[in-house]
This record gives sequence, structure tokens and C-alpha cells, in this order.
Amino acid sequence: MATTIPIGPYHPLQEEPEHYLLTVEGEEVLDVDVQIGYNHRGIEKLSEKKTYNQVPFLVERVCGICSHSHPYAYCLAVEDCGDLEVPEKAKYLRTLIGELERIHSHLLWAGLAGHFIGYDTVFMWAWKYREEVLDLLELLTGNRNAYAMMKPGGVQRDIPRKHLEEARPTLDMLKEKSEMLYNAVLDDPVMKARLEGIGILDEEDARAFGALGPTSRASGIPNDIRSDFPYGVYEDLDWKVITRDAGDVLARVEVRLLETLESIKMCEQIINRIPDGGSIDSEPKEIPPGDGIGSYEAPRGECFHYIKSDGTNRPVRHKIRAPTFMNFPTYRSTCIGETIADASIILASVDPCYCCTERAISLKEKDDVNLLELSQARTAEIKKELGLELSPLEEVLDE
Amino acid sequence: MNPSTFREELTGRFGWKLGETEEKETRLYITPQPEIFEDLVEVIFEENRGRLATISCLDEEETFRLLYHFALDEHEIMVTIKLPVEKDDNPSTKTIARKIPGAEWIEREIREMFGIDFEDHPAKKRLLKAESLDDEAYPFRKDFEVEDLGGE
Repeated sequence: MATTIPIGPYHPLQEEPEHYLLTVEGEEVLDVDVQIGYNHRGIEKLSEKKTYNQVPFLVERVCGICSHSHPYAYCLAVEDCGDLEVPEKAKYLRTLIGELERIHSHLLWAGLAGHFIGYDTVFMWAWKYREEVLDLLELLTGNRNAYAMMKPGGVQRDIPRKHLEEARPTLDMLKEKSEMLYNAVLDDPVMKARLEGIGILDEEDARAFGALGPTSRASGIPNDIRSDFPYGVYEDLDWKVITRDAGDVLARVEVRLLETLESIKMCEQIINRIPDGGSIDSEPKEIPPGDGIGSYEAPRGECFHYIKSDGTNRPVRHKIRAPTFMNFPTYRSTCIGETIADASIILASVDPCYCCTERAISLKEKDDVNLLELSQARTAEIKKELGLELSPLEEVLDE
Repeated sequence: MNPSTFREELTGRFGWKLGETEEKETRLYITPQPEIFEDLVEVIFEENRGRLATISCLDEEETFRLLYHFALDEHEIMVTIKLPVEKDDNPSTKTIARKIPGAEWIEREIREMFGIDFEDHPAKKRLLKAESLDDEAYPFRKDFEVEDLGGE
């Protein structure tokens, strides 16, 4: 007899709200249904009300992990629409931040994957080294997430040579530790027993579902926007697209860990080659009417942005498609027939990101409660307790 | 192959019905006669191994316009097919999700956000829209104001 097991919408194992309904008979998964939408914020709609230069700030907040990917893809779309040139130095800086983002994202996933199968040592290792990447990003951009580097036609800020040089010891450490992590995971018989041969996505299905990034590359499809539709400075760098043919969860782990090593290699090359002087912004004045497509290889696969311009200073339409939106539905091919214990790691193996997938809420307050005023009133209360002077607004709220 | 040679290949097959086209370095935009739409998708997806990147929907004054973006990764060409959908009481068009499973979620999102019905779609149920919103509320249409959002 078939039973239905609900997982979520809030579940201790998951980092974001999503609701799965597994139909099972005994241990076997017969069917999976998914309910998402808990993170829908209407970002595409909001974007139509922003000017071209304001949109990067908004789309940077689509996702906390890929906070460089979305603005990058958006800028590529605007640059495609307006045929804008980007200065060489800006391309280097963009690519550097993009690759550092990929390293921290892949390490984050490796840690979570370890956690999902109950191997918390991997989780602690991977996240320990990821911290170093975030600290490095803080040194280079001023923030651990939401780097605010992108703008159409260039980058917002330059990174001084001194800071770039300071990145080298971190990259050396990461290289050594990522190799260690790769060998530890691949040599471990427990990891192999848990991950090999489960959740297989064959090449035909990967293509039919339009799977992207490491999910498709682990199924033998060499799809990588960095080499297929090159942007930034990837054409000048020495690196290779990592693929595996097995299509199982182990292959997805392998692809991501090897890609981390490739990214570290690319960061080193970029630091060596980045020009010291030169412009970082082509300062575009206007965007002509037309269509623009931006395609960017985010850590999870192609991040796709489309903009429609009517010649005014804001997009008429801004479509965002995150990689998980395409990768996630592959569960129909990978989960069915597997056991319940394996289902969670298979679902997690596409590295799903729901805030990206849904991206679109407008926080609506209840009629009688104003959250902002409530917060300001609380600040006033604390200030009074500490004997600090209140601002005129706070005095009103305090009464 | 580049966008012009690919356009020539398609013109050889569909003639004038391929309609208006526009090219850039790596982009090709096609506005075909609606009757060849399904054949064109088949040629791009099956014969040329195109990858469906996504479908964008535009709410224009007179019509809705669906933009099917296909990536020919090996040739560095992004092909976009533009298909108008009449704005009437029940805007609808044919689904491609029976042929391309990857289109299922994309079409479900457009159905919820713009109210375009995809005939014969395999799963006409909600994916993203909040439970507090009516079935007839389409948040991404231009005439929808954020103030129209009900609920709490």
C-alpha cells in the first residue's frame, strides 16, 4: 500500500522552505510532488520600476549565494542590448569575483551534501575553508556576500594590487585543502557506498529537462557557458570543462570538487594578469530600444536574464531564470524507484536554490501594525534606557 | 555555423513563412508564421540539439508575446522564436511541454503569472503563486498593481 510522506515546508535538514510529497511503498519512492513558492518576492515585477543602474542592487538580492551571478547576467543582458564595450580590467575583476563565488558555493554544497548523508566531518571541513573564501571576498570587495561590484558597462570599484597579492596565501591554502577534500571523499568507501549508482540522470533526460551546470556535466554533456558563450576573460585563461559520464550523485560530487580546483587555478592566473592601471567603467549613457540576453555560468549552471528596452531609462520587461528552475524538475527522472534514505541526497544533488528559483513578495503589513514603526519604537525604548538623546521622530513614537 | 548561415538553412526549409528575422553576433530572433511554430521548434530542438533556455513572456499593449529562447551551445548561437498570443478573455497557445519536459515548469509559471493557458499541458496546477491570490489574479501583467495583492 502506498503511503505519502511530507517533507517540509520547514524541515531541519533543509536550508530553505520547500515542500516535497513522497509517495512510497515500503522503502521505495513511487512518486514525488513538489510545492514551492514560499520565497516568491516579485523581483521581476519590481525590476520594471528601477532604472538600469538601480537593477543590479535589486537582483543582487535574488540569492545570497549567487550574489554576483545575477547582477553579472543582468549586466551581460544590458550590454548585449546596447552593444556596450566593457574595459579589459573590469572584465578581469568581474571574472575574479565570479570564480571566488564559485569556490565558496561549491564548498558550501560539499558541506551540505556531507551533512545530508550524515557525514558531518565533511560538513565541518568544507565550511571551515569556505569561511576563508568569504573573508577574502570581504577584503577584496568590502562584503562577504552581496559584493556590489557590478554595473552595466563595467565595475563599481577597483581592487588595489596590495589586496590582490594578499589573496595568494588563501588560494594556496584552498588548493591544498580542496585536494585533500577531493581525495578524502573519493577514497572513502562509505561515501562511495552511499553515493555511487544512485539518482542516475542519463544524457538524454538531462537534455530533455534542459539540465545545466554541474548537473548536466556529470551526465556527460559538456555544457558550460564560460566556454560555449564566453564572457569575461575565460577565453584567455587556461582551464578545462570538467565532465563525468556516470550521471549519478557521486559524479556530481566529483565534478563540483574538481571545478573548485579549476576555479582556484583561474583565480591565480587572473591575479597574475590583471592590468594595474586603466579604466574600469565605460559609463554608458543610454540603452537603445531592443532585446538583450545575458547568459552567465553561475555555480549551479546557466543564469539567464532577458531584458526588453523601449529606449527609456528602465527595462520594460526583465525576465530572470535561475539554474535550479531547470535542474530541479529532473527529480522526476532521478528519484523514482530509489529508496527514501537516498531521496534526500538525490534531491539535494542538483544543489537546489529556491530563493533563486522563485525570486519573485512584497512584504504586506497587517492593517494595524507597521513593522518599521514598531522597530523604530523599540530603538527609542532602548535609547531611553541607556539615557541617550532621542530624535524628534523617536520622541513621537515613544509616546 | 553562425546566425546568418543558420537563418539561411531555416529559410531553405520554411521559405517566406520563416517571417521577419533579426541577427546579431551570437543572437538570432525569428518571428515566424504561427502555423510553422511547432515544426520550427522541432527542427531546433531535435535536429540541431538546441537547449531550451527558457520562455520569456511580454505583456504588450495589443498582445502577449512569448519568446522561446533556445541555445545552440556548440555553435554559440542563441535563437529566440517570438510568438504573439492574442489578448482576449482566454489567451491560449499550444504547449511544448509534451515534447520538451523542461518546458513544464516554465509554462506553469507563465500560466500563473500572465494567465496564458497552454492547451494540453500535462500539469495545470499551481507552482509559485501564493495561496492568498485568486486564480484570476495575474501579478506579472502590466495592469496588475502591487496594491492588488490581497492577504496579509
